Amino acid sequence: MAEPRLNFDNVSALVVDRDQYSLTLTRQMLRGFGLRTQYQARSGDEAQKFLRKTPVDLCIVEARLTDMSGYDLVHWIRRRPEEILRFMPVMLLSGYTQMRNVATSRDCGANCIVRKPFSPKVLYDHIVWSAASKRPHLESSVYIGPDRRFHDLEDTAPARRVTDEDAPAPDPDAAPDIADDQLRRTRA
Amino acid sequence: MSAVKYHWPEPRLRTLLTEPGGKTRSEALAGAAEALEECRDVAMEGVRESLGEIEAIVEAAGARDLTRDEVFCVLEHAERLAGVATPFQWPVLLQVTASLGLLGDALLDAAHRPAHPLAVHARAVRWALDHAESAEAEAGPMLAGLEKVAARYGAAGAQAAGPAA
Repeated sequence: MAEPRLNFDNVSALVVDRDQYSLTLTRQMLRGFGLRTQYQARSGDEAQKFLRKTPVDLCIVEARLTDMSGYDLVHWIRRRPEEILRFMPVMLLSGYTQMRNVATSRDCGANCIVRKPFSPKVLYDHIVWSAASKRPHLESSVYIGPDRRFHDLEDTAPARRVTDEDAPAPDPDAAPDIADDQLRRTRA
Repeated sequence: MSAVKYHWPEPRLRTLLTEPGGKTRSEALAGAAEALEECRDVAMEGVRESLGEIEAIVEAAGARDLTRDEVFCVLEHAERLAGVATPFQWPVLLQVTASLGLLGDALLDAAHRPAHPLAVHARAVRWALDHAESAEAEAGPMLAGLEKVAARYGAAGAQAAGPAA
């Protein structure tokens, strides 16, 4: 069967990262995927100002910013009145200095969390997974963001809560989600 | 009990990705590798800058223990090193930075935070930079040594802790 094609040509993305080198590498990867419209912000404030004027199709946010945390930025995005922002796929990049904050990452409303360092393959798969995932978007007094309960994994996961012992082997064809896996373990 | 509203949004990203044309996954990944290659010099500059910062921190500490903030700073620079080594697929630098990351993480909560195990790792990073694309076999003894150093400070499993490939 022919490998499916995905068209990044008209996708626009905002990458928010305080580290110029990391920002450059992420943007180069996106460019390689075919994404032509990219914006960058070095701080949460800069990102907020930009997003108020220019909605994008994808937002990639580093968890550690200079003026606020990436979690706070995602939290802000999820509470915007504009649906295009509120429902926008948001990926949170988290290094091992932030992996201690798994619960915060889970609760801020990001679609997925990508553990740094990451390869182009991991970035690509997470973008595709974020786009393909048909999780509902929840709004409650305590949480706004994609459903964290993984209804769409019924085909590959047991109906009950999984533990390390009975977790199914990951499907290599399904886009892997490292942090989601961690979150499931945290909840188990 | 709080009310929960459910929405079933159709993100524009999904629509755009499925438009005709585009690239296969293999083509996209090849494109990314090519694009990364264009910024190799910039990446190397970042790596050298971070290594310089790590060396300065451990040198300034000398024989005293590092503060938690200093170790955290080393960790952040280690993160940048790994962030470059991963997309460029430099196996030795990757393993060294993984070990450095685990060591730093273990030292954060340790009673003592000596600088010398980090200094050993900084030297290893410098070696790995000069041999960026070396085979792991060539660096085997050095990596084994680092694992022992890291394990001594409670960071066992350094070699097993690679990044997401």
